[in-house]
Amino acid sequence: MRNRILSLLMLVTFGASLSPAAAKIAVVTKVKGMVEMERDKSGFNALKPGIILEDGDRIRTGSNGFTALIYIDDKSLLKIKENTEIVITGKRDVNSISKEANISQGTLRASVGKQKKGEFVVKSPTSVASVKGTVFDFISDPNSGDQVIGIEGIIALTNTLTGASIDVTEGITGFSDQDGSLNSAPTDPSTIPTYPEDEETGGSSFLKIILEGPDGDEKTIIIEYQ
Amino acid sequence: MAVDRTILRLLYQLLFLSFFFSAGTAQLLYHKPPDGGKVDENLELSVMLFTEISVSKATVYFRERGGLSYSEIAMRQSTPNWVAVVPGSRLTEKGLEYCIVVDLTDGSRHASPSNAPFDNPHVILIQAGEDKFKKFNAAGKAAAALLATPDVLILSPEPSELVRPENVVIAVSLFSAPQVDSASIRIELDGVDQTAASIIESGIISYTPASLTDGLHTVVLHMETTYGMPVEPLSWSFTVTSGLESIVEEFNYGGNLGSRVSHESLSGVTYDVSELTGEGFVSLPFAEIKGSIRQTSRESQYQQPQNRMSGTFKMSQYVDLKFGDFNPRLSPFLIDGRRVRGTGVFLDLPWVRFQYIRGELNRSVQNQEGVDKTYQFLANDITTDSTGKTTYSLDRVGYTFQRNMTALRLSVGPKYGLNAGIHMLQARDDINSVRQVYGNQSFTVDSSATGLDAGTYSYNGFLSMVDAAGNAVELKSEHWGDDTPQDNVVFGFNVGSSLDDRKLKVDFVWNVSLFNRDIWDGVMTRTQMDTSLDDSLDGLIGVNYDEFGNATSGSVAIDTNEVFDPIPWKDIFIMNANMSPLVPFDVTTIDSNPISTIVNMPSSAFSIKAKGHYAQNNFIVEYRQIGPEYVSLGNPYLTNNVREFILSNRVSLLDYKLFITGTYKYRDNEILKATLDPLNTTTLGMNISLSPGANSPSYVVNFQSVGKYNEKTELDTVGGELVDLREDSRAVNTLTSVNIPLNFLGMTHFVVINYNAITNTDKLASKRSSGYLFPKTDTETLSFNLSSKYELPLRTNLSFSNTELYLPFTNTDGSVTKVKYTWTSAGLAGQYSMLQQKLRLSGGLSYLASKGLSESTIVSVKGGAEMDIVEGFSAILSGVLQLTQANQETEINTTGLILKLRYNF
Repeated sequence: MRNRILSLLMLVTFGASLSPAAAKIAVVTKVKGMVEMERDKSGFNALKPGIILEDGDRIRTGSNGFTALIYIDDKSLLKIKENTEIVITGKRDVNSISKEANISQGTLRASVGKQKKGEFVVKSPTSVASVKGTVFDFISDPNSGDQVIGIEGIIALTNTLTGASIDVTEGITGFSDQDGSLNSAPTDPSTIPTYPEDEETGGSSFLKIILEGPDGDEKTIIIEYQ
Repeated sequence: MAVDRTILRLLYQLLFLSFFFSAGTAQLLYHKPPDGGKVDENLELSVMLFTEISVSKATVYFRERGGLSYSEIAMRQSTPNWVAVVPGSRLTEKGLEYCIVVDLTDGSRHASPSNAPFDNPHVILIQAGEDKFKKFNAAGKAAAALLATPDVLILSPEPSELVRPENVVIAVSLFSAPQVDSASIRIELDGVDQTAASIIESGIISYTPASLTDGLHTVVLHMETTYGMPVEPLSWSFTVTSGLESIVEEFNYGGNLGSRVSHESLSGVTYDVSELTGEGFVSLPFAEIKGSIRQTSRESQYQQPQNRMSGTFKMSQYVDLKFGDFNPRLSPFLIDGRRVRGTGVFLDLPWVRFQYIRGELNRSVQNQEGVDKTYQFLANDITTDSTGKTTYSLDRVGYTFQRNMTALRLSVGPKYGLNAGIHMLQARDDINSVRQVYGNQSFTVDSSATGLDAGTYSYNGFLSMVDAAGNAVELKSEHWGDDTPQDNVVFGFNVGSSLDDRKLKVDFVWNVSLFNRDIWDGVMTRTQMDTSLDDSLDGLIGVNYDEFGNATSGSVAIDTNEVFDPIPWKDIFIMNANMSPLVPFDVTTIDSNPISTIVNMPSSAFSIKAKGHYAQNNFIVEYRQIGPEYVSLGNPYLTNNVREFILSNRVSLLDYKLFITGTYKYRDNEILKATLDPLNTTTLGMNISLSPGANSPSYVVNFQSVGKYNEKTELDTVGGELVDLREDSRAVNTLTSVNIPLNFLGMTHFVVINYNAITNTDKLASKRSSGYLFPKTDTETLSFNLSSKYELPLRTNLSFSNTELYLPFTNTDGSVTKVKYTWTSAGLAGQYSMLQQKLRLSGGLSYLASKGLSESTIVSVKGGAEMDIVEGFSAILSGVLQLTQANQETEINTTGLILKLRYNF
């Protein structure tokens, strides 16, 4: 009897494994602060730069967290800000990856390369934003709703409750709320999220310069300028 | 010479005037920006100087247009100019910005452009160069004919990109280059092969280098086609720059301070506790310092520390230093999360991982509070010598020795390749950490003590009294009454590797321990060994002599000079007759079954584990064995005398929405052949979890069957009576859980329904006597929980649970019945936010009733308020009152009032 149960157990667990392994779809290029990843519901572990992400990986950032990931087919870029939880999915075929990011809360910026097949989709419980190739910010608040800020190109924003859809373009912010309302307004520049890399390129009064001589020796000088 | 100088000066002035306006140069420099450049084509920049003063240094600072920081190239003299070449690899289609700075020997500095050269650099346009992928075709005509242009994507960093040291991730995608053989890929950074430290899978190459120095770095990727044809390496460069301004911007700090004051009364006992807690961190991109502290009024000299103080210093992901209290995890066989107060060093380098811990597992505790908790009078150890002087003995109790520990682990090899390591742990109690005489504590003397009045004496008072009577007191200097000082060494090794593109990971770890349960007498000398088995100091162990001085037959006769001398090793481990194992393996079987004997050493522990991920399966196959004499004081809760085989697999189906997990585990304690009636435990488990997605119900069904069989076939005789110690039972545990999210009328609800039943079966029931008590309790639990979130800033939680227990019970007539106990609980709790969510009120009511042989009811009421007083500062006041009703009497069982203050910064 024991052997029968064991055999049945093995049959069920091993025999049901006909589908392929999870597709590798992106690479983590930056991690700052607390960022964690969960794969196959095996619990969250610290996310590290260089990790190759698979279809279905869940990422969450802490209050000081930031991460950036790049898709391997077209270098579409996702920058994920603090206090964000997202599941990235992607179906690989020969030529491209059908990409989808499911954000339950938080803020991300998608810089989407021209998609060979389908659209790049960002989903939240309230909204769906789909693009062919553009740059936009997606801010999801589970208590109120979503904001999609167009940076470049056109984003099709759909409220999942009503099915209504609008186009969000550069300089426009689309609002999709849990009550089903969907509208847009000119973007208030102060609401555009800043990302660590944006801050890095901001004005500063110091420059550090690496000096490399013909013999390979390096020296560093710091220049203060106005 | 003077004429020449005059001519030169005039020439310079003419040149200067003629070029001043057209070229926009200033003062002594003339520079004409080139018309443009091309990606991947070197770009020469030159400058002419109109001065007699020597140049001490001439430099070009350049960057990608809009870039953050400049790179520098020293210019060289190429009469009449000074020139520098910007590598074509640093040019991008974004354009190039640069300036030239010349230092003269008179201390003056000149630049082009002259006005704020770093803010207003020259800008030139850069055109696209030759497609870099065309380089792949340069491996030869034959290769080019065979190869389609490999569409290799450089994901990170971009060619010529400026990158901060902590952000360097080298990533390349071969998604569109299926003709490239992944197994042939070799990646170099600055000429050093980093393939082993890279992740290469599914056409993706990812390498995160260790800290790179500021400056230019070059990546070269070597590949072959699947037909074995070489491809010209792909090469690109990037620049690492720290950038002081980024350090300033990314300097970060934060933390919190909190205090908690509580007054609680539980069953008539009052607890007043106050605590102060704090955490803080200071971080830079490459380093972080963290600290935390907890000071509590529960701290007591009579127990292990309740206060906590810890610090952490992290340097990128490679260095992690810990101070104070921390919970290291080296291995379940060594130390696995037990608190240590000391220092920890953790290095995580690409090829080397090192962990070192030194600290105390226990601090010394000198005594316990109360009478007879420091000294104890030994009524049976009173001696009187021939002069009539009586000596009374006192024992020392109530102490805990300081236990010091050192542990290290060194592992070498790539993280995802073949790696091996060694590890060890040494822990020893410090006998000198507890003082023999500790204060004037009191002890009792009972009436059996000759010549003494029964009563309670202080230590000093007792000494004075006995001394005045002309007698003596002897306080034991060793072999005290409580715990003995112990010593422990564990060492071992591990080997592991990731195989098949990291789909399969195999690890083997082996450990052996030496444990001494009493080191009061220190290390055993050879002389002591000589007389350990016999009384004759004859240089031989185990030789007995007859009345004529002849060795008796059967003597072991081991020459003490040939045995292992423990003295040189006493600083590492104290060996004496109290150690285990005395002999590490069974000497009687080592010759006949050497492998089995070594594997089954009673003081060894090992595991071999394979963890795989194939298709949608995640499986684990593991065998582990922990010998009956294996001891690690770093993990004293490790169960020994077990051997286990585990097989489990989790299958992910329906796009990771359905998970099916099957588990088989066999466990017994039959490591030693001499084990009588070993207990075998077989566990079969099945878990099915379905989570269709957000806002959809999810379901979990878990089934587990645990069978136990101890191979006993006969009844035992204990104290002249037959006792049935046979076991052949099965426990079946079934759990079903349904989680349902609901949305209606603007409200969000989450319903959780659980059903859990544990049923035990005695397979020997038909063979037992009628009065046999099968000591297993069946349970059945049904619970319901409803969490609701309303449009109002109100959240509520309603819960209900009913548990039935069936306890076996022997009646006075010897018959056995099962008594049913029922626990029913219900609760309602809520939280309401007001004043723009600055004030949060909470309250709750709970009810618990138990029915069975006795009945009781407990009702609890709790409430509280949390207020954000100013930004970052909040106060929480909460209280609880619990009423108990039993035997028709109602009383207040528990009260509590808690005040917390918290400040986040």
